[in-house]
Amino acid sequence: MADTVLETIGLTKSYGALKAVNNFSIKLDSNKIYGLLGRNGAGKTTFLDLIASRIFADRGEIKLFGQNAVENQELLPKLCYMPEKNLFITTMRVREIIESAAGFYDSFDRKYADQLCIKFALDKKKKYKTLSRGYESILRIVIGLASRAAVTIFDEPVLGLDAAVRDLFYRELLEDYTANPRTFVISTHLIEESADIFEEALIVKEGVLVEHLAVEELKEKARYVSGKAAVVDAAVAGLKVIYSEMVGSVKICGVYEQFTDEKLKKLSGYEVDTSPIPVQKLFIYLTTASKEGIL
Amino acid sequence: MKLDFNNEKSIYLQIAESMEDDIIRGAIEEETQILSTNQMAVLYKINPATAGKGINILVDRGIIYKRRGIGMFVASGAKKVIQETRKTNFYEKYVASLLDEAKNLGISTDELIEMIKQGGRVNG
Repeated sequence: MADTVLETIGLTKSYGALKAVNNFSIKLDSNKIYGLLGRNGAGKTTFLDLIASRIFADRGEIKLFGQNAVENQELLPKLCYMPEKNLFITTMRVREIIESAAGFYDSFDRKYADQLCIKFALDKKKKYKTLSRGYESILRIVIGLASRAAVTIFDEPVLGLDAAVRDLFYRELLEDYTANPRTFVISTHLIEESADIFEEALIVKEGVLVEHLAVEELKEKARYVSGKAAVVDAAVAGLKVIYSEMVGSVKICGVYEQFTDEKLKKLSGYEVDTSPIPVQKLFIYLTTASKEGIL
Repeated sequence: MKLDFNNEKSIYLQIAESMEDDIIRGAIEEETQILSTNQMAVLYKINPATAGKGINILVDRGIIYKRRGIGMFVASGAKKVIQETRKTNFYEKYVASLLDEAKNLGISTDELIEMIKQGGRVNG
């Protein structure tokens, strides 16, 4: 089966009393696209910063290609991390920034970078500090894709991009990924439009990794059940309810459950309607801070 | 091939079904090559694994076959296989729900048969 390219074991990082990343243990396979999903402040960026050795963990291990990744100079050129915050020298020109990236990453493809600049209309003569928010994102996309790094990480890559450019990015990502398979980890808020691009989702809530599963499975697990309140209550008894709302006399429950044939059969015995939960809504239910701790 | 991202059905099932639709309508002929799963991924902005899962359903049923190093093709006899399978599901999928709704609306079986005979054009 697939090789593990990136593994973290009990990774923990605190800022004062806040556990930004709390005991993350994950294994990521080669040649898959992962979506890293979580609300603001959930710990996504801290987690990515840790992987890329930009900050250091209080506890835990990070292994890249089976080796200890922390400050491992040999491994860094195989991992390309494009953070949301600027990491470039602002007085440098786009061309110079791309050139320095080309010198750093083992598999960087200069020709492809040029093609991407043309596709995304990025002017290589411009100084970084004169770029708009959108073009800052585009520069990161160009470098991230052209790095062809075995593990490529984008933190909020489509920030500040309009719908047409986001669409171009998703297509370009898929096209280059299918031609040159590698592992991508992409964090995003725009889940509805990107969910189907990911093979697996990593869902983070308040510093904790609450889910790691295939996107198709995630979608299949989520269903609304609605009908008369008493009937709905009986139908969902024993199932994991992540959301509920009364609309007039109708109760709507969001259920998150591995729907076995048995469970579906039980559900179909009640006078209730079921419908899929849109993935963005599901994400909100799964990541909303709650005292009950639904997940 | 059309995908509806708001549809209740999983994307990979939609891929399989819409490919079948294209085959029985004759939009894709038997023994012709279909898009690769990578091409489908880019075209529909979906993960290639999802496209692969959809196509594999058809491969398992002998509707699509792979030629090593060349690509994927519609099997000869595919149209017949799809039609046979769908006929079996026809009652469950359409007739049963038709009868249910007719009952809800108080339409008698005789009225229903009359409607079908007239091609559904009852009230002008």
